[in-house]
Amino acid sequence: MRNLALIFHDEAYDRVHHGLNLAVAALALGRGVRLIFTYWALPYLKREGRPSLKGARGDEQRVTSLLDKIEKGHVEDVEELLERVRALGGRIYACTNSMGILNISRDELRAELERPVGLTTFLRECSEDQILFI
Amino acid sequence: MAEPTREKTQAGEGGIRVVAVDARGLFCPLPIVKLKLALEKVPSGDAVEILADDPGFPEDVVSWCEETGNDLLSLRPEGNGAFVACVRKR
Repeated sequence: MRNLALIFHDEAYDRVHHGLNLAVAALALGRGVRLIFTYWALPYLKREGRPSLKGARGDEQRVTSLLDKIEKGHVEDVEELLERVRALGGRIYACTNSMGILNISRDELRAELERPVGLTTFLRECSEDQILFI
Repeated sequence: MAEPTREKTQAGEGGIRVVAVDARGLFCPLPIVKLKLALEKVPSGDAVEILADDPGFPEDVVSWCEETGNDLLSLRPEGNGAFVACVRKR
């Protein structure tokens, strides 16, 4: 199977959640997975001040129903999914363009990420992959 | 938070050791992830018996075993929409 590359754009909690589920499922199948967080999804990679479960942005009904399933233990939350992606060998990148747009420095991002990359490098690295935009 | 899965080891048919995992209540892709993680911890030739009630699980477990080369020894319904799959590590 080809590797999978996911481009995260949107800050909506349910979208990020969905993208991370795709990553986890692909990793469980043995596919290599690269994720790049760009634009409004980038804050999910911050050390502090990440979008939180309770104050999640996104369509209210969607987020509420997702939170319900998280609280009941049927699915994991974004924090847990990010950790799972990491533990299963997924590689997580921050986009330098978006770091500039949102004024976020490398120091403000979690330590365990891959090096920040521009879109040129990222697209070249995943040129043979199946690419999804989240 | 998703609850930790319950695991226990028992003697299976033919003398192979079987670790039982209860993944009921977990939604896709967690049951497959739990299967993968449990198999990583057992030696080759031992098996994991996983109970799950996610509706996609019966087909997912077949696909996963085909893709990863692990042996699906059995797959049967357990009632209440749950299935139990016995997977032997290659």
